[in-house]
Amino acid sequence: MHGWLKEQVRIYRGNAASIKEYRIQLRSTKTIWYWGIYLSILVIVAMANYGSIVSSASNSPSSLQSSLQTYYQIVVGFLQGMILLIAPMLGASAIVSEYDLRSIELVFSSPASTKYFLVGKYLAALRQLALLLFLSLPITAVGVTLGGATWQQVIEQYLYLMMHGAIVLAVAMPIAINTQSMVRTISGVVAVLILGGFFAAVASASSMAMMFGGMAGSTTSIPPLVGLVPFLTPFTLGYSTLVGLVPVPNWIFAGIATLAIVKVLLLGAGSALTKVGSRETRSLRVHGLILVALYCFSIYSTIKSIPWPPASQRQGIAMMVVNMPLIPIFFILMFLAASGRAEDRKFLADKLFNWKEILGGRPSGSLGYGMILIAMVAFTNALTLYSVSFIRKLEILMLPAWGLAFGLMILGIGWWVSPGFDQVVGSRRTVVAAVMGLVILSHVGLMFLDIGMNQVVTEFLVLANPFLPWADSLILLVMKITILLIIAGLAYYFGEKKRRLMFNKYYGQPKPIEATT
Amino acid sequence: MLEVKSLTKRYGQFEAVTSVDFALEPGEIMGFIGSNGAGKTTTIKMLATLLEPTHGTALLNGRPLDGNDLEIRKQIGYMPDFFGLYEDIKVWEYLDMFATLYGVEVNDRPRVIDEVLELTDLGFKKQAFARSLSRGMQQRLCLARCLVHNPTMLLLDEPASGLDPRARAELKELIGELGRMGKIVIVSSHILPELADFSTVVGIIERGQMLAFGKVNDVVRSLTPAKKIQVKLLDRGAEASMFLHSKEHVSGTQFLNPNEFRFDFTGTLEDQHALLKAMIDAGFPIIEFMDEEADLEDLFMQVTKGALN
Ligand SMILES: Nc1ncnc2c1ncn2[C@@H]1O[C@H](COP(=O)(O)OP(=O)(O)OP(=O)(O)O)[C@@H](O)[C@H]1O
Ligand SMILES: [Mg+2]
Repeated sequence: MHGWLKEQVRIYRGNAASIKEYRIQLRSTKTIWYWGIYLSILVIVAMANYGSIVSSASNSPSSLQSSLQTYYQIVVGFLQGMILLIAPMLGASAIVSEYDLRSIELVFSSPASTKYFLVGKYLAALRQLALLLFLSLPITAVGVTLGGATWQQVIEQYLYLMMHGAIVLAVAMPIAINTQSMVRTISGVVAVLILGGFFAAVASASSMAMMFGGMAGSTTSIPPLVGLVPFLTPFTLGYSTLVGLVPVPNWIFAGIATLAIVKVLLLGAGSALTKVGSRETRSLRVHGLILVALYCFSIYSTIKSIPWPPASQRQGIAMMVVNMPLIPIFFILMFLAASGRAEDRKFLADKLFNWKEILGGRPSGSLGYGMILIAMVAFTNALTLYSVSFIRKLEILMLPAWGLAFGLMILGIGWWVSPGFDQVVGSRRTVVAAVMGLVILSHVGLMFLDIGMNQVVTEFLVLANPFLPWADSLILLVMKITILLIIAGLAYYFGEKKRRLMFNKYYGQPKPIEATT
Repeated sequence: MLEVKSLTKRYGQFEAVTSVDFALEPGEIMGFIGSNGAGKTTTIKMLATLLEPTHGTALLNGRPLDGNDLEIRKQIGYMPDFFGLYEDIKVWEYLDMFATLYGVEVNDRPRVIDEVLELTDLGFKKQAFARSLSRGMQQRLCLARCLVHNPTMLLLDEPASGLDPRARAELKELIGELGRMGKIVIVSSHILPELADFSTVVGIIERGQMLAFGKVNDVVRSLTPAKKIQVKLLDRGAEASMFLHSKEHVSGTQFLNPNEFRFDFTGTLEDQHALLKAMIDAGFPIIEFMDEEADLEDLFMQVTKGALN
């Protein structure tokens, strides 16, 4: 315990990786200059607009007030956009520069832990980001003094800006380690932001819509984590969630979620940097479960807060509600599913299933870990729907079964594709392409619906489409699950055959590489 | 003591290092020789715990060199073949960073930094920016960095590349000094003569296979199928050559002048003695009879012959 504490102090105080970054930051003031220039431009634009706002709205104080609010929101929006752009750059350059210089080998031949290195880098970048945000404070403060916003709003807004920055920065870390290139890291982060932001925005917007609709405008609360969707903050500031009878401000939930997300992302980066059976990989898996539990809680609280009226398409809707939140999990599964034949043991598909590797992280643990992730989310959703008596007992099992089958299919495709690739990156791309291809192709049927070709045929394409989580009868659902399971089974069967052949060819039968550590 | 046991690294079907075995005692300096792509860097990286072996182990003082064991790294100083220095960082700051990473106590750091700077003759550049150093100085700085934590084993991957002859000589001196300090040192190079003077042992690797390992002279002998002996007489050169060819283990005479020639000899030292005695007994006026120094360059070319294509 004492040793652990000492190690933590060593990581957060006097971290050599941080100090080095600070020194560089102090000596190369380029970033600050660019930021200063950006802020000046922002001020000039704002001033110009301010002039026109005041002159056009001078006849009515209330319209002046709302114009000032708009002014403030525009300024914040520009800041937000810039933070979302600068944060990945800071995160990427901290890591990529080490690869470019090939100094990362030096760091990792030292006894400094991966955590030490990553936390050091991360904190240094975060500090820089905080500094930039701090420098922008005078501009937003103008918004307050002119009456466009209150101090409380500004503080909460900055809190959210910082959280967004912290998350984006953390997203950049594992991507930078995997791509080792500035450009690819930044585009990767942008892709994640678009995908993640889009998913979160759709999810939160639809849940908000459901709530507003259901409660007929009487609501004062918003699902707790909506504030983490960057561009929604102007609308989500100041809300709280009832825990029991106590209204807890949403920024507290967002703060907890931010910490958890950042931790998991940094662990992901750490896991990417370490060898088979490392503490980081194990910890990543455990924290992944915790983060997913948090995710379950947020969906639970959303589903719970919606008054579910009896609907005509009841089972279909329930199907969507249970399985749509699995989308991010499916993306994780595509990564879990891939392995590479020429890789270190970490990525070498050693065995079809090994329960010890569920947390250990080798490919033989993917099946178990993937199924656990899906089961957690899908069953939470189903049980919550059951508790608000929207679904029946049998459906608690049946609806998540689709998600489990779909997940099995992804993992099966991964198992089938991977033995053809030396590097795990190649298999990952192929798995993503294959799954996306299957899903997108199968959705072509949906388009015919609008064109109104043949009602029966097109409806059949939708209703029988196994890749679509929509089924308004149990028989249809069973059919879909069966199709998915057949695909998964075939992929696993042929994949395992291929894998064994590959394994014998590459590593010989007598000494399969067993975990020695 | 370093023990390497059937260390193997495979990249898919390609085996970069095949079952390498050797052992080194403290104070031994191993010249690790092989042509481009032979597997030197791969082996060294596995010893530095940066690369996971496919099979096999390496033990340093009985402890496995395992990538997840951070403590063992305190005993290793690794100097890669290519490395970059950070921009905007001073020489002492660079060393300070690594001293911190290696867990050197705060109070000891200034002393340690001064010591390694002195050892590597960089004291006068302490306040300079690392990037502003010359290539040779950067190389020495990197070596200084390997020494801040007083490791028991040093892994130097082509430390002399890009250095001028004087800097090379100084580096050799320094490496010899490290050996005398009782450290295990592995120095890789693709030039054998560069290592021969200060290495106590050599390992020759080719296509991932350790072709030879041992004391420099032993390796030379084991690899040279026939040694050359040079003979000089006052007179009767041709007759002496005919006499020799009637004996065992002798072949391929090559005259340098009528009374001086060299021949290939495959016998033992006892055979060599018997041969000389027989010549003297037969009354040949011998004035010189000596082993010719094996040419390391030739030897290397001979050993690695064919491995490059
Ligand atoms: N990541 C990798 N993937 C596939 N092959 C690799 C990889 N790294 C090294 N190799 C191969 O392993 C072999 C040994 O490489 P290594 O770098 O150890 O040679 P070396 O003896 O250090 O050569 P040099 O004198 O050029 O530095 C080479 O054929 C190389 O192409
Ligand atoms: Mg090399």
